[in-house]
Amino acid sequence: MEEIKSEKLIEKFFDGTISSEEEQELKNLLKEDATVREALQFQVALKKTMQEEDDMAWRKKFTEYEKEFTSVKEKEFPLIRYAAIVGLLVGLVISIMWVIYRDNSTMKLYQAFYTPAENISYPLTRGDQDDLINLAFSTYEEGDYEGAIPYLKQLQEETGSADISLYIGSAHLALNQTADAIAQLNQKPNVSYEFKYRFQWYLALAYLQADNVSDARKLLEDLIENGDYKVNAAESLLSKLP
Amino acid sequence: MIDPQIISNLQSDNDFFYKMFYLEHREDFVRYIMKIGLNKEEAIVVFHESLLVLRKKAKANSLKDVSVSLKTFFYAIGKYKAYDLIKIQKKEILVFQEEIMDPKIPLIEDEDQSELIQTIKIKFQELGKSCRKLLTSFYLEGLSIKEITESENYENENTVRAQKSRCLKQLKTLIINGRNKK
Repeated sequence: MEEIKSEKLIEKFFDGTISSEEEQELKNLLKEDATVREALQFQVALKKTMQEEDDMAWRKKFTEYEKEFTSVKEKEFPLIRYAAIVGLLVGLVISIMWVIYRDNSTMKLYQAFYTPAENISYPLTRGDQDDLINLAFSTYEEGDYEGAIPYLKQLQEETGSADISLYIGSAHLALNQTADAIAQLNQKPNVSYEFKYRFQWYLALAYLQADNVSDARKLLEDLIENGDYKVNAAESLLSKLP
Repeated sequence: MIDPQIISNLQSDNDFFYKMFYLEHREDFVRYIMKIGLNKEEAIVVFHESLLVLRKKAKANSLKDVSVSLKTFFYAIGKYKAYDLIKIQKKEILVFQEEIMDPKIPLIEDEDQSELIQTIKIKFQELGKSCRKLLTSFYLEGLSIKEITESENYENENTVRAQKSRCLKQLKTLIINGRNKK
């Protein structure tokens, strides 16, 4: 009777339907009865054996699946790899071409044609050393553009002259501060007429520095057509634009 | 909630299903495990072991009660398997405090049964086909006595129990005889 009971409990233990009370009952039987303990241990070992064998068989299958997975990926990957390599090479060539092109054309052209805007506003005279005008333009003409810009801006503030932006813009250009140069050189409505095409010339150079050839071209074409400043230089520069 | 059809396939030896399942999950799963701190080869081992755990759980009918998706459950198995492996390798990694599954307290003490297991492996093959099938259905496939009775057209459950008992006795005898011959 006890044997049947223990067998029933072991069966429930293996099929997973054992309740907590029954489990406790089985635990007690295991403590008390060596036959029950031996029977359970043997069946546990049998189950482990089967699981080990089954695991081994499936591990082998998984290894086969892995080979299949790898071969599928290898078939897919070369195409992607080749495409990536080709893409990278094309990108590299374009980048190199761009650098060479930029260096050889726009930047070099800018460097060849740029000279600081000539001071036509305030001819400097000896003896006025402390004057702000003198300070601003002497610093500018000495080529100390970084030092000149604050004086020029102060002078512009005091005089309200839009024309001074030409010198500020030119100073920024010399310092390769392209965005600041463009901001200063963009035509202001109240610049003097004699400054109009000077602004246009330096703005064209600023666009060249920014590698914006199309806007530089438009300005130069207009300057050649209508302007009265650096027309020959503008023609020469226009003919060299890429 | 896991699709009962998938559970049924996981319980089976359906090679096609397993291959498709493998190919579908392999890449993302391995990438996920690698993020935990294992290399690719180790992550593949974890993938294989996690698949085996999933298969065992399906066979033990415990997937029916899972409330999360199959992917979430499967990846959680992988994560714990990866932690186990890292623990073995004594790798220093940051283990986040997360809910850890309660391991089932073993009913009997985990004795070293490796010698017995090796003997059973050999002697099991000497059993008759019907005994091998019956014992496999019960201990490996996880089928209940009732299910075996129905699937194998036994007269009743007691017949199956008696047959199982005979098969176990036969296996024990084969093992004892093998020992005595030595």
